[in-house]
Amino acid sequence: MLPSTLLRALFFSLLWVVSLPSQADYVCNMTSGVTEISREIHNLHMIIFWICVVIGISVFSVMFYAIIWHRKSRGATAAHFHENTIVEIIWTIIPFTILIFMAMPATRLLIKMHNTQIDSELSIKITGHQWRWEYEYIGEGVHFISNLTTPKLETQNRAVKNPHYLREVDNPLVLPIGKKIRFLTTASDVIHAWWVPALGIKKDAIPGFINEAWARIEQPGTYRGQCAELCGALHGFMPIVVEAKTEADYQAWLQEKKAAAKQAQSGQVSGQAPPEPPQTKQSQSNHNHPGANP
Amino acid sequence: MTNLHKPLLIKLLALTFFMFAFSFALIPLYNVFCKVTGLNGKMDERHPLTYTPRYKTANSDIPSRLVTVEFVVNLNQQLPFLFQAEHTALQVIPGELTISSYYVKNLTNKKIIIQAIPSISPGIVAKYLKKLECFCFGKQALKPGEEMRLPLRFWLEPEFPHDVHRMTLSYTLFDVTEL
Amino acid sequence: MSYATHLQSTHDEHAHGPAHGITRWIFTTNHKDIGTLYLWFSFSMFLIGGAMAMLIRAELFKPGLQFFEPGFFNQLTTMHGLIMIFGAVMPGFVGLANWMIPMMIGAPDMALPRMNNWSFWLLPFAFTLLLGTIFMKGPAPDFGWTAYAPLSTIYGPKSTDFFIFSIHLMGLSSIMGAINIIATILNLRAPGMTLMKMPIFVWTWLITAFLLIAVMPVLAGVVTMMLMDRNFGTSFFNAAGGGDPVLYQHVFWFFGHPEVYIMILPSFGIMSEIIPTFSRKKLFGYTSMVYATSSIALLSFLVWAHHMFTTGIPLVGEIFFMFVTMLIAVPTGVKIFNWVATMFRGALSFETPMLFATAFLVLFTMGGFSGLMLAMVPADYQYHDTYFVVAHFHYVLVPGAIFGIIAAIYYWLPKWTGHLYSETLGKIHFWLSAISINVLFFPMHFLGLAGMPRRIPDYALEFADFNRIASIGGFVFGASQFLFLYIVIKTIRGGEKAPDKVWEGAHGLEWTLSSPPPYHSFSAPPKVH
Repeated sequence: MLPSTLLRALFFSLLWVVSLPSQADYVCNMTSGVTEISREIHNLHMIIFWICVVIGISVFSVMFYAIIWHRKSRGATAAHFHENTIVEIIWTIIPFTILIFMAMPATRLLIKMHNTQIDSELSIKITGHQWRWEYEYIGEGVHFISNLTTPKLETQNRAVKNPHYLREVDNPLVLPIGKKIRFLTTASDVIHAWWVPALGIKKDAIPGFINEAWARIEQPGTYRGQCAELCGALHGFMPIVVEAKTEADYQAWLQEKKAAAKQAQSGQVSGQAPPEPPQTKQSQSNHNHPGANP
Repeated sequence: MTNLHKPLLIKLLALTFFMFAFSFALIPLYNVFCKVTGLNGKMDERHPLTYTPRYKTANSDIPSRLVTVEFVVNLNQQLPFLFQAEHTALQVIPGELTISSYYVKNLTNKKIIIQAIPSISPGIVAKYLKKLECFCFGKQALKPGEEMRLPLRFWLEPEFPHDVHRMTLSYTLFDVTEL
Repeated sequence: MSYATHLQSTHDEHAHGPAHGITRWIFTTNHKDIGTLYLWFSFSMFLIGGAMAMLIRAELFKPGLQFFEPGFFNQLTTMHGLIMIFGAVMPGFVGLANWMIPMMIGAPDMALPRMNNWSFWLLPFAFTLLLGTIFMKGPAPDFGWTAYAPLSTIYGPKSTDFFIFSIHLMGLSSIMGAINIIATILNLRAPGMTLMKMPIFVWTWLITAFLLIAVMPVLAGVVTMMLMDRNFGTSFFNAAGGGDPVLYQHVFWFFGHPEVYIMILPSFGIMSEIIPTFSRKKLFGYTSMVYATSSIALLSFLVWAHHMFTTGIPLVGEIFFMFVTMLIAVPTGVKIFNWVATMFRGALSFETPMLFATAFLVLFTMGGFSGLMLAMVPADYQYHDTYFVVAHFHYVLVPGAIFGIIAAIYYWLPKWTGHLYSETLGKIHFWLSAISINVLFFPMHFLGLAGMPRRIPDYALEFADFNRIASIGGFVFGASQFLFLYIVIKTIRGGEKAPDKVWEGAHGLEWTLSSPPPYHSFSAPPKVH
């Protein structure tokens, strides 16, 4: 059939192709992101990937060896073995053991990811709509809608596409770095999903229900994501842009937004946008705990 | 010829119908499973319940443990209503009764019947939240322009997990006039 | 009733050859004819679903919306999935089952030949209904083949109800076919063919048939609930009425996961026929192959929520489903090892069926590896609903299921038609397909990892290069299947005469029959050793 040199060449090309994702080119591989969780997810991904590569090479080597050397055209005659209980037990137990070693770091990381409640310092309510996201800073009185801003001319191929084509919005979600942030997701119509790879977060936004996820962003920067659950015609056109700022910059931005919200409320006639919630009151049975959210 | 296959056919047809019925049975089965295991994050919707003040231990738990309860509101399908929580967040002691309320206003010119659907996060605390009085227990009808203040009285069971310091209670308002 | 009496009645009814003309095909109760009908139906659906894939790849060739409105693109992806799964893969395997199972077990026909006819003819009606939605006013189904609520219930177009009826018809066809297959295998084996002497293809179909009976009714149930939510005021999946959209996903995937094993187990069986033949060596580990296949089938009922890791299921649930999903890798790995051990120290030759089988071994295993990666829940948060998933399931379905069907057709076509296919053309078809399939789907791993979600008609610029490569692979793969069509038609019409035992290393009752076999074979049961 094929000469063995060509087969070997094909085999090594396959090896090279398979190694591409590890060359840390962002286009080829998952991002390590800017949170501890996103980094650990990336590490887990690479560990599992390499284990699969090693297993694959081992198994395929045996197979390719047979393909090259155990061919009838090469004069090979077939052996007669067709069972071997010991070998079969070994190649059941070894994969099972490898799986256990894979499951351990995965379970540890999963437990960490589910730990949303301890020490979180800011809660953001994220509402998915057809086809845009809405963000509310709980307790701060700031909320706004985030729409895709890519011009239609670009989508229609009548203008050159800008570098952030389909991943740019009018009002990004601005967040402080270094703080543990809780993200509460819900939706107002169909199921959407909020996904920002750099934060290591993907959570379904389900109408009538809330889900939660957390992140502590380590570096300032702009991080982009997209809706990750088919939600109708413009599912591909409701991106997410997170702008992480230092604490000082974030506070400055927040004060600006609060002031603007107050102004809008006093001058606003329409009742569509819910006004500032009434002054938070303590209910009679509660104690005032210093330092916590009122 | 079918006599040869009849016993087997009867069993296979029975299995088919059983699995069809099973798919419908999955709905109540899920609810039972989730109640028994406490998974799934759905709250106890039974009412009326009775409240008796109760603390986990006689003394040491009371002053030091506070849980922040965030109140979050949503309008499904951009329902033209005003829907606001009286409190954005409260510090709550597990075991004590908390009183809050919600403000609703129908901004349309039609009578609308609403149903508030609650949801809670994290899911593991759902079974510890008990509601004494909640506007989510039933539908509310609002005439055009009508506004209401709707009550919520609840408590967190003293067995509330120690490692949860903040939770969120969400209500989504649905228009059920047609339902 | 005894086997002999059973034979007597069939013999009396069919003492003549096949009917003539179109009525032959409408009224046939002959398993070979019905197998042929299923296979031609499957091939047509494969070409129609494939045409949709070509349109999808054409749109995705470049960023920007070139050809289709986003809403229509969603209809294309939905219909592509439905047609390939329910129209191409499943009927293809049923066609092979119909042709081969009676011959492999020494039976004269399927247990219930008239129900067999109805099982087939339901399908053209079901797909006329489904494809007809494209031509109705308003959109065709556009919510993905998975049809999540409330997108499909509250927001689904009018055609959704036709989609639901169509699924009911397909389900009925599958269930009746499965009942027929089980009855045939359990009751009509020639004397001396114990269960553990059956060809593995028959075993995998026996297990698949039980899976079908177990889960197709669940699909019927969930689409009925959809129908009720849409038209009869119920709230199974509507939070407003006390229901839960996530419940749809639980019930759907309880069907959906065993469904994907329904689509691969027969392919495993085919590989277990082809690889020993072309290795000239018995299948390694027959008993463990049977146990491994059974374990895969049983475990498949316990993993459904691995499609739902981001929906907010509790930690305990995620851990359970992660562990059990990983566990399925063990029996699957055992099967791969057994096939490789069959080849090892055999006397191999690489005719076209064996080429496809070898490609299956490498490429399906790669699909299995990406499946294992997907099972790791924290990593799945980055993979879920991206092109990484699309890469995974296309690797297991195309080089997995489809190559299995193609390999089987090359393997048994000489038996069915009495003519050898052209080995040169077969090899060209193989190399074109095997290479282009990787050009098409391998880059999708990178796209998913780089952040491209599924089911989008337009994408950010950083995804452009790999999309272009994938589209080129897609066009070549699509075009290559017309070569296959040509090869099949050419072989039916003529070619070198095929002997009874077409392949030197072939074993099994089907090779004791002439090529082509008589219209009614094994009217008298064969001797089984």
